[in-house]
Formats: sequence, C-alpha cells, structure tokens
Amino acid sequence: MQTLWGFVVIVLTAAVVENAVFARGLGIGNLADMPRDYKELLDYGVLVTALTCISGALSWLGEYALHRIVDPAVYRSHVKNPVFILSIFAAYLIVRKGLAVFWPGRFQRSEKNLAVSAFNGAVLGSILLASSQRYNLSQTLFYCLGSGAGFCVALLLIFSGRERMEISRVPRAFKGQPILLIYIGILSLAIYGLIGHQLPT
Amino acid sequence: MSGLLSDNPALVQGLGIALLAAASTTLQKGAVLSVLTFGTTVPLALADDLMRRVPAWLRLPLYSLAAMALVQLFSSLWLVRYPLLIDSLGIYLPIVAVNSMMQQTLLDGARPGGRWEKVFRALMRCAGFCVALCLISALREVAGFGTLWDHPLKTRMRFAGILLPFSGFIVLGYACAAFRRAERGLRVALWRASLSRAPGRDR
Repeated sequence: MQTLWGFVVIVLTAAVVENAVFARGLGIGNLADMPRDYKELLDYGVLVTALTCISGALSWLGEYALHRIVDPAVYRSHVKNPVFILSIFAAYLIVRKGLAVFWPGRFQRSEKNLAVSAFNGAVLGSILLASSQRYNLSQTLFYCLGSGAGFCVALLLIFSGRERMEISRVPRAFKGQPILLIYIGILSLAIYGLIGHQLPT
Repeated sequence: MSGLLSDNPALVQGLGIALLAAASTTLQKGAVLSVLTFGTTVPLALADDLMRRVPAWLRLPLYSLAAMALVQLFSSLWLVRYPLLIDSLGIYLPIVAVNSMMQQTLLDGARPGGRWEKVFRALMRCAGFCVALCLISALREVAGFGTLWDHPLKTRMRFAGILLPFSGFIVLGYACAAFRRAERGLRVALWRASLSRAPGRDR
C-alpha cells in the first residue's frame, strides 16, 4: 500500500508540481504549429507520454549500465546528456517501427508529428529531472507517466484558452501569441500558488 | 534580414519558449545560451547539403544528436573555466539541443536555395533570437537581482517574483506585444516617408 501511495505521489509531483509546461516552459516551443483540434492534441500528448516513458526506461538502463564503468563525476558532466538523447533516438525508432507494424493507420496520421514529439523539450526535460532525483526503474517510469499526463493536460488547457481568446476582444498588439503567453503565465502562477509555494521575499 | 524583425523567431514566431521564459534569469545565462544557440544552429546549417541526402524522417533526429554533441563539446570546454555558471543552467543546457528555434531553422533550410543564403538566414534568425533572449535576461536580472552581468546597480527595487517561470511567460508576452507594436509603427513611418517622397505628390 505504501509503495502504491509512493507511486501516486511521484505521478502527482510530475504532473502538477513539476509540470513540464507551467513550471519549466518545456515542450511548447512551437505553439503556432500545435494541432488545432482536441483529438489531434490528445493524440500528440499520448505520443509524447509514450515516448517519455520508453526513453525514460532506456535512459535509466543506460545510466545503470554506465555508472559501473564510468567515474560518476565524468559521467555526470560528459556522458549523461549524450546517453539521454540516444535513449530518445532509440525510443523514437521503437515507436516508429511499432506503429508502422501494429498500427499502420495511426502511423500514417502521426508520422508527421512523430519526430517533433520525440525530440521535444518535454521528453528530454522529464528524463533529465527523473535522473536528477535518483529514482529506480519503476519510479522513473511513473515519473515519466505523470510528466506526460501533465503535459497532455497543459496542452488541453492552453488549447481551450486559445479557443476562447480567439473569439474575445483583445487589443490588436496582444492578439495571438502575446495574449497566449500571458495566459500561460497566469495559469503557471495559479498552479504555483495552488501547490503552496511562497514567492521569494 | 527578416529573421531579425518581421520573422523574429522569439518575438514573432514564439519559438524556444523554455529558454526565453524559464532559463533567462541573468544576462550571463542569456549570453551562454545565445552562444550555444549560435554554436549549434550555424554549423548545422552549413551541413545542410549533407542532411538533404538523409530521409526526411531521420533528419530531425540527426540534427538533435549532432546538436547535443556540439552542446556537450561547448559545455565541456566551459566547465573548466565557469563551472558555477554551467551548473546553474541545469536542465536548460541540454535542452538547447532540442530547441524548437534551431529545429525550425534547420528544417526550413531544406527548402531550395543556395548554401550561403541558408547560412545567412540561420545567422539572422539566431541573431534575432539571441537579441531577444539577452534583452529579456538583462531585464529580469535588473528587476530580480538588482545587478547586470553580476555588477550591482543602484536600484532599490527588487521584484524577486520576476525570476520565476510564470513571470517569464508574462514578460515574454508583453515583449512580443511591444515588438509587434514597434514593428507596425516602423512600417507605417516608412510607408508615410515613401509616400511623401513619391513623384507627383505635390500635384
């Protein structure tokens, strides 16, 4: 029971407290090219979650294997980041092949977004954060799952906000990107307050 | 030149938000991230001819792998001299390798055009992005720490909240709006000037 509760805490931490989008601005570098439909957006989010989980597991295995061979200080400063990007590359190849073989319809739909979903700040950021917290394999997987779920929810919130703002009266200079960024900032502030942080004095 | 103004990747296209809104808390960080952005985007734009032979589905992954190699090279070199600064960048240092500004610039490079034309375009886009990054970083450092490039200023006001990511989004939003307004004003001024210079205006 305690282990299960531990996993729930990890998922909630990754999804809310350390939300990739609102706490670190990751994965939304290309807002203008984001899907403009709820279903497509959800597809994109699920793809990012799957890629985060697979690359998280692969990076954990890589880290586990290399920690025994390479000096920890050298590993942290010179080896860790290349190992992580290679894990993402491996996850990208696995998902691509898996979709093409088992789910060709889905593959055709998401082929265009697949590389962007994999080589994305949210995926790399999540596995970097999971690694910095020295989680074991199952904890890393739950952290990546929570991070992906948080990313999905954040995308949906941003999308619904964008839809409402498109039909609202906004000063001309703020239309589109500027007002969306301010909206994300306010949501980020709300989450920051919700989890009980205090602003530095 | 459009990368600097009308197609500015940071203030018009909204690319690279993680670096602009979350990582840009001091001018030194902004400068390091800017050098890394230049150091990854421009060499990879030079390798564009080579990348065009690679299948499209493999292009972005290869760009990201090569960018990570370059980031690692730069950070290893700097780590000896500026260990604290490099350490303070945390996860944002490797994030440069998957920066959407770099990705978009390099993938757009697959369009037809001369090699030097593409390199110049990449340079201009990097310049536009880095100017915005450094300006936002400087503003947040002055308002948040009361320093500029680590030198104390004579300001008494400190807004520590501006260093947090939510303020980064809001500052970036206002910066985008101000840039848009200024650019529109400039265009109108240029248009009026061209009208007043046009022949037959006096008739």
